[in-house]
Amino acid sequence: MSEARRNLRAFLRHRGAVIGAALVLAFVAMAAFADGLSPYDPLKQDLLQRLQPPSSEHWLGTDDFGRDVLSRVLHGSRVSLRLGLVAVGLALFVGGTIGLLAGYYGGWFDLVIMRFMDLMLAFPSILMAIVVVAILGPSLTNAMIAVGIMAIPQYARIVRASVISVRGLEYVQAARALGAADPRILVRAILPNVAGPIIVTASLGLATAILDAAGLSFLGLGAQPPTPEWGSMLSQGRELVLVAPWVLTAPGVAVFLAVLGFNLVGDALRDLLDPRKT
Amino acid sequence: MFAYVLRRVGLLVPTLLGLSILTFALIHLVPGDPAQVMLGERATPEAVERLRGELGLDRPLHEQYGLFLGGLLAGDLGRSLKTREKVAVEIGNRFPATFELALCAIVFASVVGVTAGILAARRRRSLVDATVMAGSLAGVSMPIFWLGLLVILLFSVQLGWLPLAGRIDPSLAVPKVTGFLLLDTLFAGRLDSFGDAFAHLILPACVLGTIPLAVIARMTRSAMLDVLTQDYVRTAWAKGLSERRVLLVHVLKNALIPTITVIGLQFGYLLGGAIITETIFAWPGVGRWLVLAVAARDFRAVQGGVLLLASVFVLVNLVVDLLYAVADPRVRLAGGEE
Repeated sequence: MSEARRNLRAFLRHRGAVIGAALVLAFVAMAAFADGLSPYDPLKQDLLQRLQPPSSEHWLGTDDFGRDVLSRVLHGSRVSLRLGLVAVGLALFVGGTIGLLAGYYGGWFDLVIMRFMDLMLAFPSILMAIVVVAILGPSLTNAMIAVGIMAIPQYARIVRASVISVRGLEYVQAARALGAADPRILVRAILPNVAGPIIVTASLGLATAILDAAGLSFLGLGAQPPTPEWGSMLSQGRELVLVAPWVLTAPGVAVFLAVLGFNLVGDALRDLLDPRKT
Repeated sequence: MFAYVLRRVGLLVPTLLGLSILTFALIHLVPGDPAQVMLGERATPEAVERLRGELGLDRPLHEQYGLFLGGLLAGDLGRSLKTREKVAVEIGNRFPATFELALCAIVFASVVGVTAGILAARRRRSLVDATVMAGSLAGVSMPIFWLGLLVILLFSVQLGWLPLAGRIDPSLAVPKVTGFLLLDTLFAGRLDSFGDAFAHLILPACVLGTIPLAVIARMTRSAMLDVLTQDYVRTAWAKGLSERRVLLVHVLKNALIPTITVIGLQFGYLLGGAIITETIFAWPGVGRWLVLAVAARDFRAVQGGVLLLASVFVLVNLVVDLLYAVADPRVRLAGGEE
């Protein structure tokens, strides 16, 4: 308990961590309370109100279908958060399992699967995502899967390296000597000790996932209209850059701040959890 | 050194072979019948069957891969379903645009990034340092599709300083020689066209270079700080050398080794990642073409585009590794001992 408290105190003393955590909390709160916070239905069209500049009625203006931009941005946080969590969850589960098994057992399984991971890394990540979308077809769900798949090798490598660094240590050998079965050793003895690098990677990974998924939607390969997704809102707003620049401002700021928040938290966690720095 | 080069180049063959298998598999991983998906729901069974024959989907899998690989080695990537053009020709027409854009972006990112990194490391914990670090954090968090729209709004629409989109004003176009407009305009002796092509490059190159710029600045700073604490640097200071000489000659030379690796890797990403920038600026490169092919479910075109961009990425990484070995003897020595 005292160690957890010490870590928390160090986290709170880190300026970047506090700003990042505040941004992330605001983002999560927006997603959680989007229905209550939104003044209008994000999908409701009102053609009499189209392309209204920001006013007391529509704080961030309206788009070309007369939809309230603020309500759409608020609901967009829900889409982006879900997207980030699903993509990182997928990458973490699949990549983590691969890394855990490859690092613990070694041998031919390690060799074959890690060569395959290297091959996946030979694709620039956005290209990998485009390949997945090309196979499955453009949609929000497929964008989540694409962004998740492209991050798998990264988690596999990190977890594998961490497992290799602890698998020969005495406490793991002791667990084995006591007759513990492999699954028990992996989950109870090894996993908690490789958690640090995983948490850091996942936090930075959320930033990348949100950014990449918004990029895919911007290209028309992710969320499809009328879903209130930030990248897709920017894509639709492109044509309006001359007549209604406010349609572009809010979703862009939202993506930037959400990504910045997770990057700040990830950087701070890396500073705090890096044993070389303590 | 020779052994290292041989080993590293040897690794290229299985990687490229793996890439060819992955891109070949792409069409077979499509849920359902790829021919039906490509032609859409309303296609007649005869048309679907004809396309299956054309794509060779009615043959055994190993035979299909053999044909694919054979075509690849002969430079034949098949025909695009939508345009009926040869995929290799379409890519050949567009790749110079992508390469020119990525090259300009990496030059911009390297010059500004390395300078910012040096300035930040020189005065650690100063205002300059804090600004560079905050700027680089903002850079890596920046959605470039948004940044692109903002700079268009500011520099093209409001101020009217730079062109909105495309590579060159059609009235100033020059005959194609290399496909690189900066070169072709010079070959044609048309300075007005060169100026116009350059002006068209500025905004997309800066937008595309934003993330690499941030990464390079961070890397240069941290590499400089690592080197600054070394004994030989203290000796250089103690000898009474000027700050300029210590930093630029003694420190930078060693700090640049990791930085060059990062620059090379970022260049590889830029070639593949120019997709979004090309879309915003209507840049007629491979990336934009690839996105249109994905949306149209034109699998032959997707296979060709993906294979080309991924292969270039792999080759750039190879060049970076070899340069790294030239710059840092420890790499090739470690390679020789194995």
